[in-house]
Amino acid sequence: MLITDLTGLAGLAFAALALLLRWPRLVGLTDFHRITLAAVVLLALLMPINGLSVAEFLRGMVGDLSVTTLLLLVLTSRKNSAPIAIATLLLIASLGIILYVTALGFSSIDAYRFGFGSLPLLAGLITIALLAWWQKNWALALAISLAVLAWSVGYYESTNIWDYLLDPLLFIYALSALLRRSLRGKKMTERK
Amino acid sequence: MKLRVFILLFIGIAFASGFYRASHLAPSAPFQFSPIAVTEQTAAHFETHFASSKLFIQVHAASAVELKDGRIRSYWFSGSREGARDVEIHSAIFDPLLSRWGDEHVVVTREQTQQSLHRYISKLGNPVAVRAADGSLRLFYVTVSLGGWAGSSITSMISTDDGTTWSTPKRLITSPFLNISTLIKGAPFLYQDGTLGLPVYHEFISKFAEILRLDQQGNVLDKQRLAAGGVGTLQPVLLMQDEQRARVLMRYDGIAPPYRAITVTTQNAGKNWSSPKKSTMRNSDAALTGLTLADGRLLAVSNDLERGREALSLMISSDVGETWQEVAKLEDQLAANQHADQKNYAENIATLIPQTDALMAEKLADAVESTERTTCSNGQCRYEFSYPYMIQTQRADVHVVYTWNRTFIKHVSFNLAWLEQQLNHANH
Repeated sequence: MLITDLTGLAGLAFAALALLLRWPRLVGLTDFHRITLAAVVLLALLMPINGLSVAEFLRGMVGDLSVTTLLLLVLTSRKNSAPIAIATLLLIASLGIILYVTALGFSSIDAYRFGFGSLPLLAGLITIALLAWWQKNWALALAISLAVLAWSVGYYESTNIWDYLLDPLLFIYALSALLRRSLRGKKMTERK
Repeated sequence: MKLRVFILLFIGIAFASGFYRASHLAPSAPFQFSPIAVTEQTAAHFETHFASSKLFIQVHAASAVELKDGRIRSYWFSGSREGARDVEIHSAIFDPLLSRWGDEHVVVTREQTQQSLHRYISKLGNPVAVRAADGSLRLFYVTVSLGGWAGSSITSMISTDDGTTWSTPKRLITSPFLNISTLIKGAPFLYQDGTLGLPVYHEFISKFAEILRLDQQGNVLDKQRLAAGGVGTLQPVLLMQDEQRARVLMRYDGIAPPYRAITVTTQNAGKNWSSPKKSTMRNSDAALTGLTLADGRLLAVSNDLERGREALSLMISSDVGETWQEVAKLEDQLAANQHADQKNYAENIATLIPQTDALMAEKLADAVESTERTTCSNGQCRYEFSYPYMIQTQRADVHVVYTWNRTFIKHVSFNLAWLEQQLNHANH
């Protein structure tokens, strides 16, 4: 097993577990029960059934999760965690639109290509990370930096920075969260 | 305050590491252009065989590579039908001294790939083999986890003993959207710094050809699009002219006539490519193959038709791919296809099989039945000669492998004396 198989599977198992523990019925559990449940669920995710574990099946379907997804899951895991900043969601959604639309061939430009270590992309990312830091958006500054660091040490199979920054699940989450917040904002305005 | 400083420090460390890695990636390099010249004059030679031998199975998408001892190894996929879960990658070796193919064997299965890649795999597809700069063989093959061929990714393996044993398969990550969809068909090529170029293509939502560049360890360094999705390009084949100039020919999948292979050219080893345009070579939405001869002429094998795959032609170009001339028809069943009811078809196939390979005559009845089962339905049958793949050996001989009615992988080999003989015939 390659190290990148371990990191990929660990990320998926962690994400599945983190999402499960957010299920309202499980939120009220004591720490002891949460840890016991986590151990059982992790075992179930990683145990091979007919030569393939649930985590490996998920990996076939969605690939490795981006570092940003994993970090945001950690930062929002507590009951009283701050919600993800709207600027962060907007950035994920807009970068996702550019990346996925160009990746699917709508023009001869392919944003994904810049992810193979292009210096202009790194320059753009450090600018965004520093702006986020200046604005005290720690989550965004950390997510971008952690993704770049993980790419530079070859944490996953991918050699493309975009795969560390974004994944389709995160993109869909950002779009739906923005939609939810704008609907909520509209209702609040109507009530006023 | 402490948190603010810590995060700034972390940004600094992360980006220092990022910029360090980016600045140490391989810069662009010229093509490794090493055409093979004839060293000894021999009499004209042309022969045909079947590379595959297993019957009552469908085979497709062959590639070939010359081994260090001068033998030819071919790879193809084999299973109950294209896209079935039981499809495996098979291989066999041709010995030019004995003029005979050895037994075929399984190289890798879906289950083995799934176990090694630690992810679900639903089916296997096109295998392409190439000799890397370090002398090892690399096998790239299509794997699908999600959906049809549009959901493909490429998996690679390395062999240091000319294909007897292979390393653990490794997945190439080439696309941001669930790593779909990248497929391989054309022959890989080398750059002078030892990096490898893979002509690949994308099929999800829109279809377009691309070039991947891999470092010597097999990591993806770059991916370059050769045409936007709307053009309808697939399965690129790169034909070098020298260290800087090359022409790419691509299968045309578009709906607008005329149906011609699409072409792009480069003057700087692929840093920039011209806009895609239609070449003069007819193309019936079918794969083609090509190579550059030592005198600069280009050789190609393609279905030189606007529709169908009932004929396959060997073509040559003396003007770096601007115009093409047919050298010989490797297959021609256009007329027979007009009367392809099962009885006529079976009779015709029964004559074609022993003409191709005398050894298969020993099990002719089974071979004919196997072909009928694959290509006939409701009493009507079809001819298909497709997916050619051509290489030139160190002795300058040319070997072509291709799908023969989805039942066999056919092998055609000839030397340059035969090629000149055919050209003389055609020109007089």
